[in-house]
Amino acid sequence: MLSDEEIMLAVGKGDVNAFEEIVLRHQKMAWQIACRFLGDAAEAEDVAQDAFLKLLAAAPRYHPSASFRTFFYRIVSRLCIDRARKMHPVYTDAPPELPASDPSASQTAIRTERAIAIRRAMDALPPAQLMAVILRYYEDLDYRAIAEAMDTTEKAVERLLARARVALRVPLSQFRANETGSGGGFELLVR
Amino acid sequence: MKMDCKRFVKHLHAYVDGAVTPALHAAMETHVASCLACRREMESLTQLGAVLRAAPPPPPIPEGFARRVMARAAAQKAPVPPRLVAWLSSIAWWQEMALPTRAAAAAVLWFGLALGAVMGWDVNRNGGNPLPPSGKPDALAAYNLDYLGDAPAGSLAQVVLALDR
Repeated sequence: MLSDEEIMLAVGKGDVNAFEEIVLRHQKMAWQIACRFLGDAAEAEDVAQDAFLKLLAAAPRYHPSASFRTFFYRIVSRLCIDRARKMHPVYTDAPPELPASDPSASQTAIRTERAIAIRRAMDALPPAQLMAVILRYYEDLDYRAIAEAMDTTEKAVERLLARARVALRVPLSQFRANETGSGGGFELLVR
Repeated sequence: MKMDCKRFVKHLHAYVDGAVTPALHAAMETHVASCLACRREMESLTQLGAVLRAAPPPPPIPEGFARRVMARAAAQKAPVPPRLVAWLSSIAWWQEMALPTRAAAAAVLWFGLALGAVMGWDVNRNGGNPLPPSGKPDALAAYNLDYLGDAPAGSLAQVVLALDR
């Protein structure tokens, strides 16, 4: 099986059909980052598609000096941040009320409330802090990888995460991760 | 390595992210084991991380996403031919020039070519024949470059010479 770098070199030489393999391998990553960052399915798909098209346009100039994944993270991050600057979020109402006597309904309500609180808290972050949080907590990147993806320094990444955590702590302090476990649907907020 | 609360808080975020050196990590671990305030601070960050990670995942990627990307890719203009890009990329000095410098270099080149074209047209005004009817070459007259001579028409030098004759 060819590596991402080998496929990109082939695409750079004109083999556009080979690009589909790149899309299939990395579409989930691009989609999830865009979704978590923008909180809107339509915008997320648009940005994720744009990221692949930018990648295709850059293929003739691609040099495998850095990991492909890092290269693509950088494209996705930059597009997400650019798109966020043009968007104006609109939030849904409070989570639906459910009968307290139904324990599973109560747990669902708590999960929903927590999910919405996380969404709102993250949406209130400046774009660079939000991207650092997403890459750290949901893509499990270390400081060096985040710095390369965001075209900054490791020290700057540490500062971004520190500030983001200060901002997130207050609205999320009432929640505990093990209250009802993870899972459940992710209700994207309508913008 | 000496560790106090101030130093601990300074490195706390990097510590939680596993981004400190082994020596610093060991010192912080020792400190937090005996300092309640710092331990609470660390636990608060750890708990925050757990809450964030407990957020539900995004929905599955939309059906047909890859197909739509490839359709847009096919509809897009073809990228710059690889050979041309490779040739341009190989000119290191050109790549290293700043954009304004490149623009200036291109402008100078264009001006030079335009000037050459104008001068060539000027030469060819006489049917392309640089020799006057007498057959004797007179470069100044042939090329209308009398202004490069010692006494161009209308100049003070010409008047002085005419007076001397």
